[in-house]
Amino acid sequence: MTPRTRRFSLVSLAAVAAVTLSACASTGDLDGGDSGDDAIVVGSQDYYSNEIIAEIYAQALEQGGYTVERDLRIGQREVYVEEIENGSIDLFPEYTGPLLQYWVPDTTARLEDDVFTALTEAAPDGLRVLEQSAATDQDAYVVTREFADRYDLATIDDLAKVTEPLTLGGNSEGEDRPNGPKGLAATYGVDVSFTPIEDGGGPLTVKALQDGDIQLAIIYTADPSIEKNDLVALEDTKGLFLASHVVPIASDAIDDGAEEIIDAVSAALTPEGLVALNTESVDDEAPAASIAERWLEDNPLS
Amino acid sequence: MIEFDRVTKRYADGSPAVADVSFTVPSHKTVVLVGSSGSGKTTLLRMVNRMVDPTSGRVLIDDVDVTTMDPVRLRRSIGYVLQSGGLLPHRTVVENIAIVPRLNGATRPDARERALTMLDTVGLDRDLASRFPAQLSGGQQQRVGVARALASDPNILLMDEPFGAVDPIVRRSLQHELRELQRTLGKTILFVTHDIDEALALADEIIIVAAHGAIAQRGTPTEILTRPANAFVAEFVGVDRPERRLRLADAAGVEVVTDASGRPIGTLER
Amino acid sequence: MELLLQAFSWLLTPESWTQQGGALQRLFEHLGVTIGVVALSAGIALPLGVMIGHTRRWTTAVALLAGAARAIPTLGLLTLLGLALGIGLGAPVLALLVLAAPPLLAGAYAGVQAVDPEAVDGARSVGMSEAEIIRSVELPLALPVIVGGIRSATLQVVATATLAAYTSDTGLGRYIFSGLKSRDYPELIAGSLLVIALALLLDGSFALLMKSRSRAPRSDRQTTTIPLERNPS
Repeated sequence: MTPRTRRFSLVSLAAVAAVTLSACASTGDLDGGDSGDDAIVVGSQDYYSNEIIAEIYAQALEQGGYTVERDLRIGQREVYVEEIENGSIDLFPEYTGPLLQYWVPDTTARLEDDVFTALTEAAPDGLRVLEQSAATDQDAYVVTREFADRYDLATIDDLAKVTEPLTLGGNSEGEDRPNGPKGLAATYGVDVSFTPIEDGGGPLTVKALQDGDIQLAIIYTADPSIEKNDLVALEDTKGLFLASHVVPIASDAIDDGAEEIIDAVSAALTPEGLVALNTESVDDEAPAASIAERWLEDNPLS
Repeated sequence: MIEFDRVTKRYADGSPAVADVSFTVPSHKTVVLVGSSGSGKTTLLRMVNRMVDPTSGRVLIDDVDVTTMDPVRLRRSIGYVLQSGGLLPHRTVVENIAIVPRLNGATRPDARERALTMLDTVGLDRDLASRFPAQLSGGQQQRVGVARALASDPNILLMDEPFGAVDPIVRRSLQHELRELQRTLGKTILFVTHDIDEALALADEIIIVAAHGAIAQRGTPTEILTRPANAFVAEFVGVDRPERRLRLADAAGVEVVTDASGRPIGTLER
Repeated sequence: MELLLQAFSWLLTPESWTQQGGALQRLFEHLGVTIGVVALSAGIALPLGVMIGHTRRWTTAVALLAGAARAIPTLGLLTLLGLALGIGLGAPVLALLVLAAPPLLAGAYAGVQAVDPEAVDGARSVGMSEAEIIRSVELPLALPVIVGGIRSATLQVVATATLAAYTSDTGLGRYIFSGLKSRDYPELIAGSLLVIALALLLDGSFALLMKSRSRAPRSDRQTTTIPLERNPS
């Protein structure tokens, strides 16, 4: 062979290989996607809490007699949503608020039911949104138990009862955003001042709450530190924060039987339950699979 | 009067700098300690003003043990001249000379006046008063060092190779001036040098020091020259050196003094 | 480039400076923290360093300690202290004190050790007490190196005092954290530019100071300025 022909052969070989590989990649699993032997592919975000929920889905389906394959810890939303849309992933635990904002960036829905309805409408073809769970994973205004008891606080509206000056402590991005002090003033008529604590709702923020240096902090509802430090998340009745409940999204490969199982999981997963799962992961550093297994033992679905 | 009474100095590693040394320095006399470097002579000197304290034995000034005296006050009452001068580089000549009077409580004007007088005494021009040591020649710095030592009119002067860092001609002139000064002032001087000729030029008494401060011989310059006690002293003094064995020669009726090899040194005065 | 221009236009807007939490206020806060920290740290580190340099003891131990202190990440230390002390300026100031100490300490003991031992010996031999030696001989002669240490410490602190904003509403760090977290890059850049400008200003002041001291002709000084105290005789 002359060098020229040789190079041509190599190039065409490479091209064929590339096409073959990409074809395999785009169908994801060589087994999956066909209506014959269907293993359900369950995916998760690269977020420890999300991975546990995905494991629960997977093990619940396996207990129901389905074959399941796991594709956990995928990265950004941009990446995995595409894979769900093209069917290489069948089931994925998501959160109503951020997902809605991903599909409808200028959405005005804030409260949980509005968000869920809008989400269901916004879901593209080939993909559907199953029942949302009561468990939430969203930003919330948080006070200490002692402070909540002192002024009898359960919702953000109740802050009007507080007779001392209120200070919010948190990341400096919270200072100017619409659900920060400005939002509290406009939506709830509550005046709070702001002081920066840049550890993202971490130990310094918690300590500041406990010391009384701040009265309010923004911590996400599934954070184990809420329970561990006996903090109280105030209910956001007027929808300052985008509601964000755990919700499974599914491809057409999920049949009625599978859907029933997943709906049962969603119903059984309570907000406190989710926090407990997270606490187990953070404190005991147990793997997602064993945490999921224990949860299913404690919460039999059938 | 300074007395060394069986003085020993041992360092931390146990090595002795000086071992069991005893001698006296009579008041108003110039005693020169001569020896090669490492013989412990500087150590002995620095015991007088407590820059070093003996491991055993005593140093007494007018029969008082120096270790019973506060070192700072003791040093202010003794004049000390170092080889390098030890002047403060960031102070003027006048400020350097006036240090001890000021430490002793003299007012600035009085101290300054005293310092200027000292400049006269050591033969320096008063123009140099506001200069800094770095702006002076080696010989001038040494004179300032002497002036500083004399400023508080101490009874005792300690001098540690003070003229070592200057050239021979300046050194000779400084030695001569010191003799003249001593004639008028009558201080008790303990002088340390490695140069036997300097000792011969300055001393009322010479103490030749061997290793660890051991005294090889003590005597007047004439005694040392004419009756060296042992081979070490003889070697040190250089009794066999040409310039020690002078001869008279006749040069057309003039008596010329020559060294042993016939080099002329001077003429004889009868 | 676009962002840089936006940063400049922010800086050139008067309101950016005069408003509540504006650049002028932040600059003064930042400067205040810097000067306060350096002064406080110097109050401890300089005398300590001078003593170590004068006695020439513990130099190795202190050098090792200072080196180890340099290796401590300031933000990590701040977080630890914050967990103990809570939010506010306390934790950042303490962490910055630890940052400032090594260059101050090193400047002090290195400067004093470098003083000509002959001059010190001469001063001691004419009857200066140790305190007088330190005051009249070692400190004046070591001053350039000591000031160099202060300069170095100041520069480190002014650059790191942005951390005060981690737990407190203080200083130019507010622009940096705020700009970073909310992705307002012009704000971030403007804040950084202000920190750099402040650092250059402070460092430049030190340079001028060093120059003016060495340029002053020595003969101009009064000859009666011997700073020795009267000794009761």
